[in-house]
Amino acid sequence: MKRKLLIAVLLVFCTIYPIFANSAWLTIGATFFIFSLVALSQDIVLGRAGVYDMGHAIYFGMGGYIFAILVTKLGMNFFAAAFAAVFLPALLALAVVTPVIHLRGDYFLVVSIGLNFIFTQILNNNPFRLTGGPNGIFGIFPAPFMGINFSSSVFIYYFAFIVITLTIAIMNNFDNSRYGRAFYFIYQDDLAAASMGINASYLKQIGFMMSAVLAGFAGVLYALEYSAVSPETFSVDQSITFFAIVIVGGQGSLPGVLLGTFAMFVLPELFRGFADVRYLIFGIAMVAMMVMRPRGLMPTKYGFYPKKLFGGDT
Amino acid sequence: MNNPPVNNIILSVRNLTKSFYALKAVDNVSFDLSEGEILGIIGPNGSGKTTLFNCISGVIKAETGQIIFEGNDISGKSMDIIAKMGIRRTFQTIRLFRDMSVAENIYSGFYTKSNQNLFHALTHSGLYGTDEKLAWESVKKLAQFFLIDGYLTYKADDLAYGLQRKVEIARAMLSEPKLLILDEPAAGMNDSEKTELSEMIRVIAKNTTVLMIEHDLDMVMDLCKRIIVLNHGMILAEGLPEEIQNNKEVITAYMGPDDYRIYGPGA
Ligand SMILES: Nc1ncnc2c1ncn2[C@@H]1O[C@H](COP(=O)(O)OP(=O)(O)OP(=O)(O)O)[C@@H](O)[C@H]1O
Ligand SMILES: [Mg+2]
Repeated sequence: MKRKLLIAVLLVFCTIYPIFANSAWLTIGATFFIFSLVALSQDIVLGRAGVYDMGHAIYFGMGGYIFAILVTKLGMNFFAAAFAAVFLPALLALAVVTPVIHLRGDYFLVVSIGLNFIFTQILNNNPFRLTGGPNGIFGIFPAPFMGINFSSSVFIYYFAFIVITLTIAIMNNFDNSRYGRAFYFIYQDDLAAASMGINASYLKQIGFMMSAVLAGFAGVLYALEYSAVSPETFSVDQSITFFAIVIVGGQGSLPGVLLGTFAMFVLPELFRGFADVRYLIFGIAMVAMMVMRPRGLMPTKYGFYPKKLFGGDT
Repeated sequence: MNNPPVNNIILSVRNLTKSFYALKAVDNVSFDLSEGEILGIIGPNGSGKTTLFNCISGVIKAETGQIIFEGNDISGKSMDIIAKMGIRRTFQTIRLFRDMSVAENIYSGFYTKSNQNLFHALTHSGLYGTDEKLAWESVKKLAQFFLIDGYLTYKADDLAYGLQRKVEIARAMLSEPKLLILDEPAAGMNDSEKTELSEMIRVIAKNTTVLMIEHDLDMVMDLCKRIIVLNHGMILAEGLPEEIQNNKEVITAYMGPDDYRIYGPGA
């Protein structure tokens, strides 16, 4: 009940937020949704599939760049460009993860960092004059459709809000399903999970593709919000930030990851004086956190059972 | 009319060998297991019992030899495929999903029986409702059978060992396997728990073939019609409990050459 009330209050707050937020705060709100989407997608891979992916900005960047290229170079309409920008990262994710799926966590970590370096290098080198080199691509304004101006900041805010809300609802469903629980089983003990007939490689492939779809979508939203994309937004540094958000927030925990994103991207805006030293503060906070709460700010809550069948006692 | 009972072989292990460097942990082991049988495997520490089970369940691959399950060669197949074919096991070092509830642990056995597809899972539509209901109801039923329904909401790690072992067996049984493999199921249990477990295994064996390792010889002798003794990875003896009890080589392997008492009243 308390949880439902909190969710309702948050939903109402986010819905009326554009009424009193100025344009800077509207951007901060939309950016929070966008980065939350990337962090949640990182959490599917890290907190559920248990794969140490420190190159997650690749799929975020692919979404943003594909959308930008299709809109600015080919004049493609919003829907077609967005579809490609969500679909192609999922294909890449499958191609990337399949040959290395058996690697142990720490080995995969190194592979994924390497891939992220390659990715930003490609963006910087401006192949076929597509990516615009170190400056990236500017002026991403898809043609309006039926009177919808895709670049209006109010539109982007609500669009991102709907996407993140749906994502959270779907991920919550997923966690309480055969597949979601199978991910938790693998995460807890992969050998025992295999002895229950759970095929970890197959599930990790599914997880990676779902995750890339979300990250790609976040890339589209980012390209819309800033009308520009550039390599540093999708660098290894950024990947490390998302990795840290999930670890600090709590792996496999939806509220934990949202809280982590809030702490990383919104708190510094609230306390402007801190903005310069935010990495210092967060660095210290991360160290302290891992010593005091190694499972994150809001760790995953296990212990699920349907109350109707088993009675309400805990 | 007067047909002799057909002895269906469910599992056939042929010349299985597995070495760790110079050590032959399982050395040219062959045996057959009939449907409905409870076969006990005993032997001193380090004699290769767990390694044999690991080969059968696909945790490790044997170098040579075959494992035929219901006519299919499963040697070299991966664990999840072997589990799907109907072989489920427990572990000597209990391997529960430690941070999760007892209910969730047992639920994991439902994975291969479930009809939910990914779309149902993401949207809680279609077969999701009936499927989950069936899953949790079978969890509850099985927990009642194993007398652990009072602990369904507990974190697995918080339970006493004896209870954890039962949870592990329940988890293995949820998928109604054809062959249940138990690695020291009574380890860490007190006498009354052991008696209770024996009764449960007897009931399970009505529909499931059971292959078990157990150090508690009273329990093995009581449950199994046939026993195989492993020593240094090789089969030292095979036969009825009484034959094993009186086998000089077995006694020597267990106790050293000077003590002939391996089992008996007051032992
Ligand atoms: N992964 C491994 N790597 C190296 N040696 C191993 C491995 N697993 C088992 N062994 C060795 O193989 C031999 C057989 O071990 P195994 O665990 O099968 O014995 P066991 O009969 O189950 O003993 P216990 O009654 O103590 O459980 C032992 O000498 C053990 O040290
Ligand atoms: Mg053993």
